[in-house]
Amino acid sequence: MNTPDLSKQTPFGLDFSVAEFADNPEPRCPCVLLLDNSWSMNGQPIAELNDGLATFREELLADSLAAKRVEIAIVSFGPVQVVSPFQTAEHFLPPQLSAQKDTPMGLAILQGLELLNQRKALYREHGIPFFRPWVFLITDGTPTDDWKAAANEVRKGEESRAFAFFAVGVEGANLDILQQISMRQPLQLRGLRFRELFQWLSNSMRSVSRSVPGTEVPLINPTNPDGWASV
Amino acid sequence: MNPAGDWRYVYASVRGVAHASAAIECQDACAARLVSVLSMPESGPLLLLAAADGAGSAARAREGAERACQLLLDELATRLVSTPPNDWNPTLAGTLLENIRTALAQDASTAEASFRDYACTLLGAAVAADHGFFLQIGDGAIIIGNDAGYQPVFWPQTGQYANETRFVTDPDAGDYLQCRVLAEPIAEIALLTDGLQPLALHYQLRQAHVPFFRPLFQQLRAISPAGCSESSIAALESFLDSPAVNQRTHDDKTLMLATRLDLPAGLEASAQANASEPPSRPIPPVSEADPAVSEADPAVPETPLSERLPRDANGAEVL
Repeated sequence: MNTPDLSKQTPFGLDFSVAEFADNPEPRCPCVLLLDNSWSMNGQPIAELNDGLATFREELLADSLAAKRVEIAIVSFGPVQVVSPFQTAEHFLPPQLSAQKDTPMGLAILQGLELLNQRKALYREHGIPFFRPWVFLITDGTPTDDWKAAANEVRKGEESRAFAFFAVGVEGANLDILQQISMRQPLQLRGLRFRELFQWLSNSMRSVSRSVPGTEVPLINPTNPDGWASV
Repeated sequence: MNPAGDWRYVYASVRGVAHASAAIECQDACAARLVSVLSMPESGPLLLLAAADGAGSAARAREGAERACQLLLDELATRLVSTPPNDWNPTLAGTLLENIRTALAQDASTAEASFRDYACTLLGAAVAADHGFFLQIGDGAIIIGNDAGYQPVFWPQTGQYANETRFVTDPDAGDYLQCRVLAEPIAEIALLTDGLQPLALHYQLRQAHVPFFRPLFQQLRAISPAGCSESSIAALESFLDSPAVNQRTHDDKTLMLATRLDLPAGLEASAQANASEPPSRPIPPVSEADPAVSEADPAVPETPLSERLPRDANGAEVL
């Protein structure tokens, strides 16, 4: 006979976080940020990235609908760490990332996609409609781990439209490998325009989060002359 | 005899705040008609209802939605009046859809426009004395019941994501046409487009949100005489444009309500008492056999649908 597992019977084992869906039944627009905090990001790059995250929050909060609909999760890599689980923009607190070690990009992608799968399962369980998730990778380096399995998952996810995957290279990034990971053309960040990047990302999330069936989602081309990226 | 029979009804399509602020016209439409059945005058008129939500990116979204509603009423009036309710069956819906698509395609060709410019969802109902005929393509909902409870006839068709649905103009529209015939008296019915779904439906239980419908029908029952008046339409429009509604939805919204439950004159307060009485006939739950509602996973399965869903009326990828 199995010994009952008491830990599973105590109320403390319950997950009360699902109350968030009763409190906020709005459809969700999930966005996973995969952020490189390897040592090479040390100094101004990581500082600008942190400022960019603060801008991201501010701009989403300025839109009352986006604040309730856009959900952000952050996985940093260097090493891989879930810095922030999924939270609606109104509850999101931007982290202060610090530059640390290597660039385990492959594992970070797999971790991010797993977070996303869990979140989608939770949405379905609670009858929360959702928009196509975005996964947004930012790196300045070359993966220091096996990235092929991650590239395969990204390809499968894009083909089944499970998410849209975007890759952005900061100066020094290996764009050849990013090109093999991302089905969409990787973008090169101009200088350290993280602030402009996150303004663009919040505008895009605002557009997606209020889109209705049969409407095109207007996205601004980030490679415009005054945009934050080049191809 | 009142030509409306016992029906009290009201309907309106109102522009959402998102379209109002962008100076875009309302892309929803709805239409109602009462048709007397000459062969069976004693059973009262047939009530026909149609509602449509034009696709935002379609060039002639509003026109498409209006035309689709009128075409659907014409088709329902032609096909269902000439067919005794006992012989109503879901295959009629397929013929109906094909005729509507053909007429829209002709409109498109006359106007030198694209068929897709008329993309819209479509909801329709025909209610006879003791039969109901319902069809739907895309999102939105048809709700039936009485003061004791309200149920959706179909669950809204959404794609994998919240901003995806199906349209009358889709090449495979016929595959997603849903139709049900109920051989029972329908006392009250509501049609709504997706703009009202967040207020009117309980997504987790996949049921109607009864507190939304009950007070609306109670108001409607108290109107005298039967029929549909300009003043009740104006009242519905102002409700649909009220802050309480606009706080919950920014999309265009359509609501059609019809009741033939009589509220005894001067006894409006008794609506509450009626609520405690059991309904004369129980409303059947949404059929388990209906593939659209028996889905164990509340989300439509991802892979097969995703291949068919370039969910923009122009075929562009939707993010």
